Amino acid sequence: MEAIRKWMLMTSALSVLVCFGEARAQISVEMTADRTRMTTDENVVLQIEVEASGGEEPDIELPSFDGFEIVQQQVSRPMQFSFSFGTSRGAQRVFRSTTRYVFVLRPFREGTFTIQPVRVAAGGKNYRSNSVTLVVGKGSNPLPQSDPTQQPRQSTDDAVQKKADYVDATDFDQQAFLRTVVDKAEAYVGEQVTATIYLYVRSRLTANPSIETEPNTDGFWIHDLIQPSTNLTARRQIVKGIPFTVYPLRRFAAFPLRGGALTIGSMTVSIEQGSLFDFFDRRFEPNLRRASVPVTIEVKELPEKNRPQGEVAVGHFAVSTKLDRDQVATGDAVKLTATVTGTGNLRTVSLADPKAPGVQVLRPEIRDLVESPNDLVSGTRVYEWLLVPQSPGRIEIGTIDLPTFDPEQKRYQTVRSEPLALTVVGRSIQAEEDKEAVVADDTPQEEAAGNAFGPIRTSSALSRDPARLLDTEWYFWALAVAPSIWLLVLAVSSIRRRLEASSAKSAPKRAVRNAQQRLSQAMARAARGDIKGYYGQVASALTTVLEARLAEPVGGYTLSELRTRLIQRGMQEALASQVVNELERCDFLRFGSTGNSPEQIKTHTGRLRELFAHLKEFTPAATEANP
Amino acid sequence: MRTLLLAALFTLLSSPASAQSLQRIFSSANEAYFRGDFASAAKDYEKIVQAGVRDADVYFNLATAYARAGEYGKAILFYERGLKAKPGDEAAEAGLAACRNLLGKREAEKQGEAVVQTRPPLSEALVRPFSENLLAGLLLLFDFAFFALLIALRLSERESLRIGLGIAAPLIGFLLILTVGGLLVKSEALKEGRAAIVINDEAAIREGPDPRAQARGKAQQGQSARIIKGEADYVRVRLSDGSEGWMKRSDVEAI
Repeated sequence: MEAIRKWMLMTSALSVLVCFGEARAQISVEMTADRTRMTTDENVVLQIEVEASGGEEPDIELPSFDGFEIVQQQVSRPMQFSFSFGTSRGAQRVFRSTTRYVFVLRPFREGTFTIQPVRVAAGGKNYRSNSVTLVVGKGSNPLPQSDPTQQPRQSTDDAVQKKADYVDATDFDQQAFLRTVVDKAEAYVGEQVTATIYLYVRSRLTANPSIETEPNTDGFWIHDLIQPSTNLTARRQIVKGIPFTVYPLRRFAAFPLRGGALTIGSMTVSIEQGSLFDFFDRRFEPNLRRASVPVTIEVKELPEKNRPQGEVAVGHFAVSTKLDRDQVATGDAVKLTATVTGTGNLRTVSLADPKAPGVQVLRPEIRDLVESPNDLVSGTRVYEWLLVPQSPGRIEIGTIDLPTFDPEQKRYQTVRSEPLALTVVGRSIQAEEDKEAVVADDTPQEEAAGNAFGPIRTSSALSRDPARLLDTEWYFWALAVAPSIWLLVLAVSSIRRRLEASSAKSAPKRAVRNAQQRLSQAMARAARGDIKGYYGQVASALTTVLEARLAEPVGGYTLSELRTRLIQRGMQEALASQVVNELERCDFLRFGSTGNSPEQIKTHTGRLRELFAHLKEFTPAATEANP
Repeated sequence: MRTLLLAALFTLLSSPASAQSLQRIFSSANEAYFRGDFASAAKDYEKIVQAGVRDADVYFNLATAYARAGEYGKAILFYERGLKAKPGDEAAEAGLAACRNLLGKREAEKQGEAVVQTRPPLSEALVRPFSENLLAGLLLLFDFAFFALLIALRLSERESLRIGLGIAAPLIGFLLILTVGGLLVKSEALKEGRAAIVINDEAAIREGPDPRAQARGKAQQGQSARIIKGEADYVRVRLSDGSEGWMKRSDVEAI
């Protein structure tokens, strides 16, 4: 049952749709805005929706948005289709579409604006949407940006279009043209006028346009709001049905310096078309040269009525002052800083010197910080005076006045700082000294900038020339002590080594000499009849000589081992045998009774001397392992 | 006559009461400075310096008084002397930089361009914060330490001790070499002549030590120079720009 009901509903819907297709086209067009009241700082989102069903595709004509800059635009077609019923011959085409335009608009100025209805033509009939009225109030940014999206006039005869409070000058061309927009047609002397020069080209630029002549701005003080740069930002805009790419080439704040008709002159640019590769293309075209239309602004002198004395700053300003300290010694300098902040041409703001009795006021140093947020020239101008009090006491520094003129309210106002007080201590400067100081101080401004120096020191140890260590006599001696000790240690070590080496070398000779002394002592013993003592001494002397020569003990060897050892150490066999025989003889005769006559002793002694001489000449071979 | 006066002053100041006298002159100079009478202040500070005082504070006050009086050449000279007596004195460094900047601006206004400040070589910049005496003391210390280590290394027989000494000795030796280098730079032992400052503007540089000698050029006050030798009233100088010649003794003064 439910399924049948659904089928019937669908059939009914399709029947209705077919009926629509057979009926005439039906159009619904509506324009809405997200707000109807705003300030010049705010954007409004305007939406236009066109729904068309049946017949053919509608032709939509959008209204102009005079007084608004198109910040963003978007077109969408969320639904668009067509289909036919029946055979091809009797087919009936059904069209249905929805087109939605969304514009983000920014008011160009204050006022009440009516966006005219959207016109839609379809099936030979015209349809209109509602109109929208927008009320724009004053924002925090009273100076609007230039309006690059308004439709420039398509005229060469009367290219300059002066509207209520701005100027739009265009020499329209279908290929490319320059457009100058100035936000004010009339201005006071010193009031900011913002001028923008746009380049409209059909396609995107392949290279930056070459500026042949800059606009003449004689009679204006110019502050660039966008720096002439290599990176141009582009946006698309349709002018008279032709899509253009728009580049802002110059935007500057111009402050008129005198009254009368002042002209922002023509700017000439050369535009390169296509790229190098297009040279081979048949569509290659030469460069275009375009000039902007000069724009004249009526500049009014400031009103005489209620005009204050002195120079008047045009704009909105405030003045504040401060001292870097509130107590100072007589004759010392104190810095007074006056800061002017506000909107307007700060560089023409001039402050009178502060009024302070008994204070010498030096020429001020001036620093500027100029900015241009939202294309409104503003910033800070800082005056710094050095004040030199001439006498002690409390000094009142008067207000600093700045007469201003507000071009919007068309009235004068004097802004002023708060008065300041300075306490001066110390003795007065005498007139003569004062005069001298003035003469001595007849120097450029920078030389009076005493604050870069000091403050001086009020106490000092008044120490004499501190002794230079390098000049003292002991220093280099002290420096030499450590290396000298080191050299001494090296020398002592070296001597010790040499002595030891020398001692080792002379040991054998000493041993032979000792042995011969012992032999003499042995002979003395023999002479006294001590034969045993004689041979004991002889054996001891011979052993000492051998140990000294071989540099090893020999007492532990048997006689045959000693002989083998002597031969191992390089002694000739005959000499080794002689040594062993002598030792054997000594052992034998020490305990026997033969051979003890004085002649025999003498002969033995002579033989021993000969043997010692041979041993003295003997050089043993290197030590080897003992047998 | 001036010499006699100075000698008399020196004698006076060498008496037991000299310290008090100097303090009085110092106070008087300070008062003159606070009155704004910078010329008188400078004159009094000069008296103290001529009495043999080489105090960094006196040099600083003297330099500041000259600077406030617009005599930047003399101000630079005494700031430099103050920095020599007390290296790293920030106020003196700032005053010196300000003087050089102001002279540079003045020169630029006159000539169209000027060298505001020449950067010293790296070696000089490195030793600038240290006094000569400090470096000499460090040299003595490292000298003792280094050779003590060498002697210990020679006499020591314990292997672990020998390793420790073998590591420490080259490190101390490196510090010793650095200190020697620093002292050589600081004492300007390797440079010819003495560092000096031109104190008078547009001081003539001549071919010879004679006022009739041909002028080679002019030196600007505050310009750095080296006095190579002296002869009567003239000294042979080499300026920071490399030019060389004879200048009047009164136009240039050693730091």
